[in-house]
Amino acid sequence: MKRRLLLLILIAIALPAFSHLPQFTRQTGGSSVGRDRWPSGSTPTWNLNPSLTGTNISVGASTPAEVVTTSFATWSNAPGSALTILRGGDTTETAPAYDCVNTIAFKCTSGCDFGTDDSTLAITFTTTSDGASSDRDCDNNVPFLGQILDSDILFNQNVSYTTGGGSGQDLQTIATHEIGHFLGLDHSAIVKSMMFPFAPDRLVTLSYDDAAGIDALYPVSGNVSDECVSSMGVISGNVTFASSGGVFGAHVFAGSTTDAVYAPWASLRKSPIGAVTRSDGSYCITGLPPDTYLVTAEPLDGPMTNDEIGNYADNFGRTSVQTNFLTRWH
Amino acid sequence: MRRLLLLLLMICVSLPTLATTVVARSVEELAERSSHVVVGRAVRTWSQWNADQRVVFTYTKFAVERSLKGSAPNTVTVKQLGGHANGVIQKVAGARQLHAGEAAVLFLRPSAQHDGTMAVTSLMQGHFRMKKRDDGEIVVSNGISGASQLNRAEGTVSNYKGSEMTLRQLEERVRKVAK
Repeated sequence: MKRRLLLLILIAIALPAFSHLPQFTRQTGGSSVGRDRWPSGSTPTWNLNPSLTGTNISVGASTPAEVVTTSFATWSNAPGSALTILRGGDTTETAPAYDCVNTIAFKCTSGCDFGTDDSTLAITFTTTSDGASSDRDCDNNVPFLGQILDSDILFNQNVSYTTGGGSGQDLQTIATHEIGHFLGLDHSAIVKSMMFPFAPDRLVTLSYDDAAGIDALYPVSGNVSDECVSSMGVISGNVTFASSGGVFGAHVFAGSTTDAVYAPWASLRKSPIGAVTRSDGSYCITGLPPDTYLVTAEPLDGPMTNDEIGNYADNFGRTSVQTNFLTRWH
Repeated sequence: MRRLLLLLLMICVSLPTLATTVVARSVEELAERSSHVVVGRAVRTWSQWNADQRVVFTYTKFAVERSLKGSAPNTVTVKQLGGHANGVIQKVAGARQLHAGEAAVLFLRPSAQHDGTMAVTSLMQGHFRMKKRDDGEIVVSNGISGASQLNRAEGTVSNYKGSEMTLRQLEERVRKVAK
């Protein structure tokens, strides 16, 4: 029994502090919170500014345009997702803007405030609806809370990039991560997931956690407003204190206890999949392939903390996630 | 548990952070890139569209209690990309806005528009939030966990700064650079 307990603990401590998380928008004048996403059944279109003038990109076997196309395809080809993304006509935009053009540019001439600094490699700038305005979206529909209206990715022209093994930041790695934000994903703490906030030299394929994240936002079937809907398996429940209600902001994740590889996901890297509890302590872990799982609930008390999950607590009208409990396994 | 998770993160210390995407900078590097480093409190924030109604900026009146680098006036206006105006919310993925009442240490440089406002250096990296620990010590964090610098030539990792240090430690490091 002792050995089994130790094994469970070792499994749990080797896992990261939180996994995929959507970005959220809080309703203006209300308490509702919407997940940032493009409308169901819509086809987000991106528009490339192919100009390399004034940039510092070492072009290898692939052109920068081909790299961006491949990076979008990585997400649209994620198994189990209904997501379709198209490349539209090229643009000459070089600045972030809510203009119904989803610009991808290799430089930013205003708005980004890169200056001469190369610390910021790229930014993804997203415009979402606050759910209170009657203004129409770019397709003349009334937008829902959290609907992505426009999204732009601007690379920093001060940074050296490479499209194929040369020195500099790997363009495809950065592009693929930014496109995750473009589609509505926040960061994950799954090490080596595409949405992990620290980039390796090169990482261009998705993990199980990334696939689950995109499946949660763009499921093949079901009511997308139901956050427990998934094309894959779902584990749901509540994390509660013994005497005082639900735990807000607990990280709950499902880690496989087997070596099984789900064949349709063979191209993905196997990883835990998780969620963060809502105000009432409820959670849904979606996007789970068939397997046997150990479910762990842990506080976000370090090294990943409330600070690392952006405005999660703000969106729920709280100042911080709750961390006054001990890790539990089931 | 913290130690092992920390170890896990340390594996990644040589990597740029994807916040949006930033390269993790040490306190010293942030100070070198900044014209001003100030300790103070956000007094008021507001958002508004830029002149051509395409981008929302959030402005913050920041009351300066003391300067660690540069000579700042009593109040500076900080300008950040993104905000909430006329039914839409604009955001830079991973970046934080200042909140009114929030105590912080800010690493600043003049905005590229040269409009008298200041920009936070290296996006959110130059924004250290302050909070009082149970023992009364004030700690600061810029939310960049486990970030260290890799010396590619030597293959060594140094300057582990974690997500948290005391205000006194941060002040000492900035003042050494500012000398």
